[in-house]
Amino acid sequence: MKNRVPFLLLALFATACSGGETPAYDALWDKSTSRVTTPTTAQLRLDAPDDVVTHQRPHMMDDHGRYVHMRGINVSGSHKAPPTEVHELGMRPSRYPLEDLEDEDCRNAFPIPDKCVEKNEDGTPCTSTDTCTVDYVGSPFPIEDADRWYGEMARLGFNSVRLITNWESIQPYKPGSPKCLEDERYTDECYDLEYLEYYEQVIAKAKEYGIYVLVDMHQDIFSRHLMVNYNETPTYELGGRQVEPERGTIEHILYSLLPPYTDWVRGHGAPRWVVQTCLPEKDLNSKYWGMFRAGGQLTTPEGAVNLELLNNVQSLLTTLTGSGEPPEWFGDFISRIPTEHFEPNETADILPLSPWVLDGVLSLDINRCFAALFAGDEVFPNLRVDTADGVTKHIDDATAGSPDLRTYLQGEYIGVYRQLAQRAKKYDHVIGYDVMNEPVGAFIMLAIGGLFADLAAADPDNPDEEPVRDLVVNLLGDELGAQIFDVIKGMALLPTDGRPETLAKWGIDNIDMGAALAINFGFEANYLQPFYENVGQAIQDEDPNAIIWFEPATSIRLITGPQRFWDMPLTRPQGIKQLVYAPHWYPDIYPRPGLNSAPRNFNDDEWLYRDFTEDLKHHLEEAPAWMGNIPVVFGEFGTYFTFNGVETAAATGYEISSHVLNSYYEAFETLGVGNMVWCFSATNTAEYGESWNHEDFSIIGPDQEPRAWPAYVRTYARATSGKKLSEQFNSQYHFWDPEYGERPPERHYDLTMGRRESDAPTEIFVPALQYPEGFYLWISDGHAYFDADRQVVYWYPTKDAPGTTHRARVEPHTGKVEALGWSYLFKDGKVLVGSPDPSLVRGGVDR
Amino acid sequence: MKSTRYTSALIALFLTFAGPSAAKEAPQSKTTLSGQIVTVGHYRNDTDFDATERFDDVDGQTDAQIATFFAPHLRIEAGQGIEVHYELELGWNAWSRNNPGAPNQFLPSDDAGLALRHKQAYAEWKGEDAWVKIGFQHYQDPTGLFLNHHAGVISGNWTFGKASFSAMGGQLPDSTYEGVSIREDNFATDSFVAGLGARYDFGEMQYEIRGYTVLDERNLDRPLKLHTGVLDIDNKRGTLVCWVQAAVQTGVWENSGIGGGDQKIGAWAAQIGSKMDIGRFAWRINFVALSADDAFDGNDVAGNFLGSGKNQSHTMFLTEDEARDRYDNLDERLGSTWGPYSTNRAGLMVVELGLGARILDNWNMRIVGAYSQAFEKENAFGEEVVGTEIALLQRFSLTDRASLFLNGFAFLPGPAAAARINDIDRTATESLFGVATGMQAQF
Repeated sequence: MKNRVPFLLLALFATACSGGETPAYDALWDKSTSRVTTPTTAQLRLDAPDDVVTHQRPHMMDDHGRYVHMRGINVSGSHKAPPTEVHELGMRPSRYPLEDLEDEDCRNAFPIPDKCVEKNEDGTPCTSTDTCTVDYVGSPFPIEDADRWYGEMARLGFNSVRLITNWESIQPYKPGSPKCLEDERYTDECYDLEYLEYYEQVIAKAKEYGIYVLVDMHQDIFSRHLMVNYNETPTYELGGRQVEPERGTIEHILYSLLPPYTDWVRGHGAPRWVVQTCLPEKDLNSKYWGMFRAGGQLTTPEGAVNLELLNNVQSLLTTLTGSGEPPEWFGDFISRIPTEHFEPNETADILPLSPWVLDGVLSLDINRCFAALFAGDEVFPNLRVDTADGVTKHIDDATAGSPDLRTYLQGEYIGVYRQLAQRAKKYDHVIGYDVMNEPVGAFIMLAIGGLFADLAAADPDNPDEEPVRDLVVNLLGDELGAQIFDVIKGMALLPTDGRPETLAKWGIDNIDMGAALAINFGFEANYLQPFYENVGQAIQDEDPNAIIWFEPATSIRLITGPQRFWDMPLTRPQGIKQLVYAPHWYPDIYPRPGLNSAPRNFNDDEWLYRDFTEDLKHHLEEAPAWMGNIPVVFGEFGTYFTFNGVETAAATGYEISSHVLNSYYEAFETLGVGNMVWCFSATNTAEYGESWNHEDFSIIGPDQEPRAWPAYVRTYARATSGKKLSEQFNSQYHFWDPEYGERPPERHYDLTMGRRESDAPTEIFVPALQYPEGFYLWISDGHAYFDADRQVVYWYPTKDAPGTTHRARVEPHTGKVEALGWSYLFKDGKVLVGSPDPSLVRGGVDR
Repeated sequence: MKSTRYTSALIALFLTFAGPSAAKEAPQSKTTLSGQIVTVGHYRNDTDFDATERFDDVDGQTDAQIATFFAPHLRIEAGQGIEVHYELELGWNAWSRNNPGAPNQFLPSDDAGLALRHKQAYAEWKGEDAWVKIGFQHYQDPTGLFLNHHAGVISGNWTFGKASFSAMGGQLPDSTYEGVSIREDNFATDSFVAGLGARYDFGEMQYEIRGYTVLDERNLDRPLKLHTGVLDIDNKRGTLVCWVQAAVQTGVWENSGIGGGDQKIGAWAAQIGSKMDIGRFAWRINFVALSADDAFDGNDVAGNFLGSGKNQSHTMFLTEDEARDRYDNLDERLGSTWGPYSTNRAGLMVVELGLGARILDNWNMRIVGAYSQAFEKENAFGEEVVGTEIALLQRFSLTDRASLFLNGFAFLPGPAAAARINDIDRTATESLFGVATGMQAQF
């Protein structure tokens, strides 16, 4: 017996010294994303016991019964153009690849010489047949970089991406075109199989990083083929020296419109063939496509300088400057006008407005394309897309049975979305489909165009310019009005007569004026909602689990707000099982309206203490007021990183942008609403931001490192096992009025949660960037673990009494202030356990 | 269903041993009142190895208090082997806080004021070779390492010659939601313990072994099923006393691990010691060890011992101060609490040597030196050394039942203690000292 005791002790010792396996975080992480649904609740009816009353709940829940809270990012802000286009510093941009970037003509000449563009087999330039390479594979990033960038997004705490694609990415060429029939890369419908495969790979990869994916069919002011080139830093020659005009002056604006071009303002989304469908009179093959439209009028059709126009311009400038003399730069200006005349239908009517969104309202071309898509059957009742050749024609010239513009375009749009859904439906971490980004629903120019055409048609015997001239003169006076009219007419800024050829050249010859006016009112209810229903139901046909995300329009109602009587709001799209309302939110950050204007300047008081909560709350009320109480996730918000100038912004550590972003996130947290920041870009540059309209929103800066990260790398609950009641993280930018003796709440995080409804853990993202020296965790009950590699606390609360409120709190381990009563201290991958379950401690027995 | 089985067993025990006595004629009762009163004052220069002023504590770093504890024990011998025991403690009667003029001296324990605790309230039947206790009582396993608690227990012992057998069943207090109404209380989320044991006397050697099973369902949906075997071997030859004690735990804490998996429990504790009086002098050694968990919290194995937090060490700061437990001893502060148990994922070892002398007939003095370290340094931020304590313990006897004491200690903390204790600078290891003095009296 004596001999056995040491052996027994030894055995006990050996038993307890044998360690277990490493934690099963990988398996847990696999469950971190799962099929998300938008649940409803039902209860038996008292008046009809066999039936139930059903209500929509405003939440998104995962397959484990947890509430999922979207903290997402848009990927990517640079997907508005294909990687194959050319937009580099120090050269003129090009929609298509260029053959020889060493050639100075190919870099800077405008019009772009034919020698610089790709050729067809027969030697013709690709631009003439719309066969130039358009390839979005590799955008948002090459698939071999997916681990890096998804890893970075996960490191920064994003649990979801709004994965941007667009119509052109998927269907770059016209259905049935020879290029697609001959090339195995494309289906006969011209769906780009390589791109779709790539997009699917990007979707699949996100799951490895615990990131949900929202499929987003993006567009902004319709298409990148609706564009205008401009010169960011124009100069003129004066007395043998180059003068750089002051920004905002008339000469700065005018010279911005002339070559050499360095940048452009444009839309994105629809491919060229769609633009051609909605703007059939346009010559998108014109070598002047993208030049400011008035530029074509500075030269006569015969090739001479348009002296009449220039005289009118000179007179106007003389009047405006009041000097009695033409400005000193005017002579240089005349020497730089285009050498050839071109017509209004050889370019788009886009203006290089720094707040590009204004073009959506001010461009007739953009108005017409959106009207064609949403209401082509009503606004253009006499136009058909000929089934024989896919060309838009007058109904009298088209094959019988050819579809109207709306039917055709929506049909193609749906076809594209079906392609996406067929691939995305395979993945349970796909949280839905955003039907269309920021649809434009304001058609003021269209209504004016229709009105003009109607007035002209009303008096076919007098289709001259008098009505318009009289209008301008009456408004501005005899001298100035007449001068401005002459310039408007000469520069073809507006149609000035009602001749059929003029109306056709401007594309307003087939507008139904009544419909064009009516579409401005009730657009949401009468046109947008049916569009969402058509597309959403088609997606749902392909993917029965689909959640359809939809957005409000940039419309008259957006400006006026809900109407007191006879409101026609966007209501819940019918025939769709699961919906999420996904508005965008960009308060007061855009550059001032103007052509080629400077980045916005702010003083401290405009951003330092700003509370956006009430502003944000206004958007939230849409869901219970009109949309059946569906969940709301803000699909976009964000800020420029160029305030007070790019250099100043960078030099101050993007202080203003950081404060603005922090205030946004505090508002989101206060209201407990999901959000997806605009944006991520792997190719952001200091010069061009995301290479689209000088937008510079990417949280990844030109050095490919995150910028302003303390504002958005925040502790937050990715998913909660009970209903989230409140959540707040105080970053270093949080305004705090000190109370004497109280610790600053910097990097403090508080979460309260209703009674747990699931055994799956509440997941709290706790970023190492915010807590480099570790962090304390307090929990009201249960126990918690921390996966340091993925920066996620898994909290398993235990209490389940009705009315239970679970609480968690995170504070930094600073080495400066004392923390008391904590449950856990996590640091450097290690853990100290304090009081893991206070609920057990309090009820513990006296020992 | 399992709770029901436990309940049935408890009722059967009650009927078996309490039933026959109840039928007998009630004899005249005898009442005895005993107890003790302790007044202790203590001072420490620091509590967390760092003289930096605590941010939230205007009282600063020192820790000092004078308090009186009064614990009367009422024993009623009802005759025919039936006894009723009741013990309470009036304390923590801190002189600086108790105010008899306050409307309610018996404030909740979290607040300042005089608290009353019902420590024991039980009935006991004593037969010739057996006894049974039913009620809220102090219960201790033979080692005291696992169970050393006040709890609601039915315990019994039967002696057959040199052998004896014991059994117990108990319920630890409820802490989960069941409301305050008795109608809402049930056994669904309670904690039960049951055990069987055997002891055998070989003259100078005593062997005792017991096994306990715990079913703890207070952690909702995550029941703890814990099986603990304890072994105690004692040897006494003259003034030489030796003890070898061990406890081993197995079981499972269901659904508690990462991802909701089970954590299998494999833990142990051991205590070995000896002491001897040689004339006016004495020595004593003790080694106690509690197993550690591995470096991965929440994986499939939990290796940390769930125990009482008590041991036979005589240090003042490293382990419980025998003059009066103030619940602030370092070994428990290093770990955490799991319901009624104390546990430490880093594990702990304390080895000590004590030398004593009777300087005068009524003046005893001991010097205790102890060293402590953790077993799994990954669970102590990569550190092992907990610290070294030197304590000087003096007792001045006034009578057989009353004495004064004057104790002091110095503690040299190691980085493993600093990592867990100092809530500001987890590398602070400034030395700490303290004194305690007071009077103890029994009656």
